[in-house]
Amino acid sequence: MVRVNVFGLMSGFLMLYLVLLPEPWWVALGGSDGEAFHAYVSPFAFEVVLLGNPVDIPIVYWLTLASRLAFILAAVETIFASIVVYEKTFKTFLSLRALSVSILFPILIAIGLAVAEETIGLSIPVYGEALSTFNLPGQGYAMTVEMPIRTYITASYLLALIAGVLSLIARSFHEVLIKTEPSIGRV
Amino acid sequence: MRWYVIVVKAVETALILAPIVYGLCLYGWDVQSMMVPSYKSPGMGFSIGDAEPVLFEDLTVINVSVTNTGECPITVTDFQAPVLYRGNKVGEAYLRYPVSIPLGETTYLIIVVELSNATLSDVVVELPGRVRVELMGLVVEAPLNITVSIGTFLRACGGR
Repeated sequence: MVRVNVFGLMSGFLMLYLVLLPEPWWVALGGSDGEAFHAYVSPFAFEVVLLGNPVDIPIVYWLTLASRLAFILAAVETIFASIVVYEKTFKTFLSLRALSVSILFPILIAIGLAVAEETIGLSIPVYGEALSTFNLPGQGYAMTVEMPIRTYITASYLLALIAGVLSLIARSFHEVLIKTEPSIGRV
Repeated sequence: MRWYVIVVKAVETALILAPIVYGLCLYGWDVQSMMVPSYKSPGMGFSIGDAEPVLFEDLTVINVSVTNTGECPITVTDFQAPVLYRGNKVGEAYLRYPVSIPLGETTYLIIVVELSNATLSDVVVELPGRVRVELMGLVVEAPLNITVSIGTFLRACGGR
């Protein structure tokens, strides 16, 4: 009987889905319905538009490209190791990348927002709603700007977390499969 | 660890690092320049023109011309100010209704003036207030001082 690591397969295909159909993991909308600014952030894409014009950070493009590649490779390795479960060594290919990235992601968002508050004085919550007030220098006077901000974590982030947990289970399940399945080498 | 695992992991690492290295090469390995955000802010602004007092539907109002000099449409939603004559408060002024101003266009704000009993004779009245403007979902509040000469003001008020 051919055995596959079902948890690994699910994790691998979830990772592929997350990369190939990139949806934001975290969204911030400023003003009414994001008219003033919106930020769509995930490890694979970064889009910030402020007052109708995009904010471009060159390094982010290359980092997200690397991140996309890393996830695709992790997904392919995980799917491969979930189908070929004869070798104990293949456990190494059951990637925990989705788990580590989905744990690190909100931490990095929080750090990024703390830096933004420190540098430009704009307070944005990691999750929830807030009314942000800040001053802009005008022509000999200061303008006070009020901006309602809404941020939320999307279903894609939850899928990434699920993919990560599944990969962790897949690693344990791999051990079980190896113990119960005779090695091809020995057959 | 088997040799092919090491080879696969090494190739994987190289593939992941390749875009970052390529990006660094494009920027001459200047990491700092890669981290600098580039952004062109749209212009925001409006200029205040003439303030002309008139009698309008039994109200004393001041027509203030405002030109949208920015790059996005704005809506003036509120203006509140005390009416000051020789430094003393002699009344209140407020925006009659919100006014939308498209790009590059000039529109009049109708500011209603309610005076308490006061004798006005010379120089000017001042309206040192704050204006609230909505643009692209933002609410911007800025100081707006309007000065009207008494002569034209008295004529508008019917000689009070």
